[in-house]
Amino acid sequence: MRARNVKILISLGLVIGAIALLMVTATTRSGYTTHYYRTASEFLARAPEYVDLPVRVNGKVVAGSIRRGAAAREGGPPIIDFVLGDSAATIPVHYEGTTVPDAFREGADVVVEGTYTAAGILAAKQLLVKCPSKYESAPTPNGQTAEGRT
Amino acid sequence: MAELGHYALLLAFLVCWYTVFASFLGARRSSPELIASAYRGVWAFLGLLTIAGVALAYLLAVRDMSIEYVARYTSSRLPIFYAIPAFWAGNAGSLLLWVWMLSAYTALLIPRHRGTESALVPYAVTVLMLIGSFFMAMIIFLFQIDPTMTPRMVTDPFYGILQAVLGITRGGLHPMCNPFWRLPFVPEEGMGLNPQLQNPGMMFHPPALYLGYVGMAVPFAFAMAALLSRRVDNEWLLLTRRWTITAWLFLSLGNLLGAWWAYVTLGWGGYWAWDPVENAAFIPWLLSTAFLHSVMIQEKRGMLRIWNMVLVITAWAMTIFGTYLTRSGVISSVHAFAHNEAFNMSFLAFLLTSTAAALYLLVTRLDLLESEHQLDSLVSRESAFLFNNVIFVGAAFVILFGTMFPLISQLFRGVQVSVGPAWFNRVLWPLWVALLLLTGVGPLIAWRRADAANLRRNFFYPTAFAILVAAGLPVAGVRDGYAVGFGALAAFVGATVAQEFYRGTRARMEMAKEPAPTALAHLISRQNRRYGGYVVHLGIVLIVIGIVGSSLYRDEADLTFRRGESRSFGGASYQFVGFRQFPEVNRDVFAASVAITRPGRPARNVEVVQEDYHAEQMRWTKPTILHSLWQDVYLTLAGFSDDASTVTINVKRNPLINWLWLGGAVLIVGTAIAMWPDRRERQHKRRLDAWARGERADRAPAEAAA
Repeated sequence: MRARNVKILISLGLVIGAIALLMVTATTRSGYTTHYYRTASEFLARAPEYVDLPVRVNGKVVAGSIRRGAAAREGGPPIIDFVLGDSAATIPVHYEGTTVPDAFREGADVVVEGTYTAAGILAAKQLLVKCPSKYESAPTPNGQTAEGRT
Repeated sequence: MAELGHYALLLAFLVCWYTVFASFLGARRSSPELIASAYRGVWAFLGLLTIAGVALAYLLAVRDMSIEYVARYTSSRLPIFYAIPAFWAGNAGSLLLWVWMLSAYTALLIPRHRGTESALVPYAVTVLMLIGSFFMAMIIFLFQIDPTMTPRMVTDPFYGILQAVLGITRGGLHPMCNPFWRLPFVPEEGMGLNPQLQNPGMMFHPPALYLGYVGMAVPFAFAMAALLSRRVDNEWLLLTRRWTITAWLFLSLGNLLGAWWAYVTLGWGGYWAWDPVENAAFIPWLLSTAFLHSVMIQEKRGMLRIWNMVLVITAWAMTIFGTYLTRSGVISSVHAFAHNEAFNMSFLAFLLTSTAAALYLLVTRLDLLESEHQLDSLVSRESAFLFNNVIFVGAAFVILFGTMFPLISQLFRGVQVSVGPAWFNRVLWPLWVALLLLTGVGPLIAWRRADAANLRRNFFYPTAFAILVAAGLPVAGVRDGYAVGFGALAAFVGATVAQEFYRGTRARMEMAKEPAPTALAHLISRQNRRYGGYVVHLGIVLIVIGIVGSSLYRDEADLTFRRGESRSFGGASYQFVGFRQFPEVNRDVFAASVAITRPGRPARNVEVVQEDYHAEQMRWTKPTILHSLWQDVYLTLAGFSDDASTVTINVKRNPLINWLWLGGAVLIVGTAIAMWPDRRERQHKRRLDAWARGERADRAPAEAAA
C-alpha cells in the first residue's frame, strides 16, 4: 500500500514538476516569448530600459501622422510611418509588413508589437488594431445629441 | 413590445427566487407538493424568458431603433438573418441568452413521470435557479449613473422608482445589461453590426459555446445536490453523464466554430492566437474533457471521488470566469476592452462566493467521499486516466497562468508583461505529446494491472506501425522533428482505434455469424459509448495532423504586380488579370481578379476583395480561400494603387489544414454516437412510459436511467 502510494506521488510530482519547469524556462527566457506591455506615456517614462527589447505598446494613431512611403524593395509593400500616442506622449512607429489590419486608420486604438530602437523609433513587427468592441458599456450612438426626438 | 420583454424579465426574476426556495424546502422536507410547485416555477421561468427572448428578437427584426440594444447592433440595411442573431452581439442580449439556456436545461431535468425521479433533482434545480438568479439580477439591476442624462429622462416606471428610491438626482439611471432599455430619443440609424460578425460562423459560434458553458452547470448542480443531500455515491454521475457529454459537445463545437470563423473571416490566415477570450473558451473544454474521463474511473472502480468533485467545481467556475474575462476588459485583448467596474465586481463576487460555497460543502462531506479502491499499479488504465487528468488540468492551469500573466507580473514586478503564442506553444507541446500517447494507451490498457502479455497483445501492432511511420516520414521528405514525432504518435493512436474496430468486428462475426458490415454496425450500436469514444479519438488524431501540418509547413509570400504580370509561388503561377470596383447595398467592393495556373491544369480565376462598409465605417479585407485536402491557398488583397494598376496580393499556403475541420466533424459524429441512448436505456424508457400510462400495476421501474 505505502510503496504504491509513494510511487504514484512521485510520478505525479514528476509530471507537475516538468510542467513547472517548462513554464519557468519559457517565461524567463525573454526575447521571443514575453512582451512588455505598456501605454505610450508609461512606455516613454522608462524608455531607455526597453531599448532592443520586444515590446507591445498601446495607444491611438495620432491624426494626420500616417505616412505611406515607397516600398523598401522592388515590388514590396509600402512602408508605413505613423505616430502612436495617448493623451500624454507620442512615439514614432515604423512598419514594413504587409498585413495592415482593416481597422487601422487615424484615431484607431492600436497595439504595436515590435522592438524599440536606440534611435527612439518603435520598429513594428505587428500591428494589432482593437476589434470594434462587442461588450462595451452603454455608449451613445454616433452623432446623436442629448436632446432629440422622443 | 419592449415593455412586454422588460416586465417578463421582472416576473422571471421573482419566479426564479420562488423556485429556489420551493425546490430547496421541498427537497429538505420531502414534500412532493412543494417540489411540484417548484417545477411549475421552472416552467414559468422558461416561459417568461422565452417571451422576453421573442420580444427582443422581434425588436431586432423590425429594427426598432428606439431600443438602445437594437440601435447599437443593427442598422436598417442589415439583412434580417444577421439582425436577429444580433441578439447575442452585445453584453445584455448574450446574458439573456445565457440565462434562457439555463432555464431550458433546468426544465429538461424535470422528470416526466412523478415518482421516478432521483431525490437529487430538486436540489440540482435549487442550485441552477440560484445561478439563474444572479444572471437575472445582473440583467435587471446593474446600472450606472449616466451624466449625459437627467433623471426626468428615465420614463420606465420600474427604473423610475428605483432611481427615486436610490435618491439619484444628478444624471440618469442607465441599466447596463437590460436589452429592453429605451433611449430617450430615437436615432436616425443604427450603428450596424461589425461586418466581420456577419458570417454564418458567428451566427452559431456564440450559441454553441454558451450551450457548452451553461451545460457545465448541470453536472455542477448535481454534484452540489449530491453533497447537499449526502448521496455521494455514483448516482449523481450516472444522472449527469449525458448532460456532461452534451455540454462537452457544445464546448467542442463552440471552440471549433470560433477557430473556423477566425480563419475564414479575419484574414490573417490563422485560426488560433492564444488570445484571452480564446483561452477562456479552451480552459473549460480541457477541464470538462478531464472530467469526462475521470468519471469513468469513479463509475468502474469507485476511485477519484474527491477529485471528481473538485474537478466539476473547477470546470464550472472556469465557465463563469471565462464569461467574466470576455466581458470585463481585465486582460487587454484585441477582442474585449470594455471597462465596467460594477459589472466586473459583481461577476467576481459571484464567482468567489459560489466557489467558496461549493468547496465548503465539499470539505464538510469529505468523510463520505473515500475511495472504494486503491491504485494497484502505475501500468494500468486507472493510472493512464489519472495521468490524463493531471495533464489536462495542468494544461488548463498553464493556459490560465499565461492568460493572467499581465496581471501577475503587474503584481510582482509592477510592470505588465504579456506572453505570446510562442510561450504557450513552448510550454504546452510536451503536454500535447503526452496526451496523444495516453489517447492511444488508455482505452486499451488493462484495468488494475497490465502485465507484459497484455501490453504486447494490445500495443505490438500500433507500436510497429508508429515506428514504420516514423521511419517513412523522413524518407517522404518530412524532416522536421516535431512533425515526425507527432506523425508517429498520430499513427500510433489511429492504429489502436483501427485495431479495436477490427477485433470487435471480427469477434462479432465469429460469435453472431454476421457479415462484416452488419457486425460493425451492431458493434457500434450495442457499445456506442465505447466506439463513439474511439471515433472521437480518431477525430482528435485528424485535428492534430491538421494543426501540425499547417503550423510547421505554412508558407507565404507577397506578390506585387501590375496588370497582366505573373508571379510564381508554391508550385503555382499567379497573374493579375483585372480590377473592378462596384457598390453593393451596404458596402463598396474592390475586387482584384487573379488567374491561378498549376502545371497541367487549366487556369482558375478568383476574385480577391476588400470591402468598405458604409454604416459601420469599416474596411474589411476578405480572404479568398481555395480548399483541398492537401492544403489551403489563402489569398488576401493586401493593397492596391489608386488607379488599380498595381496590386499586392498576399498568398499563404496552409498544408493539411482541412484535416483540422474534418477531424472536428468526426469528433462531433463520434460524440453523437456516444450520446445515443443505448438499448438498455430505450427499454427502460419504454417500461417507464408503460407504467405511467397505467399499463403496469407494479411500482415504477426502479433503476436509474443512465
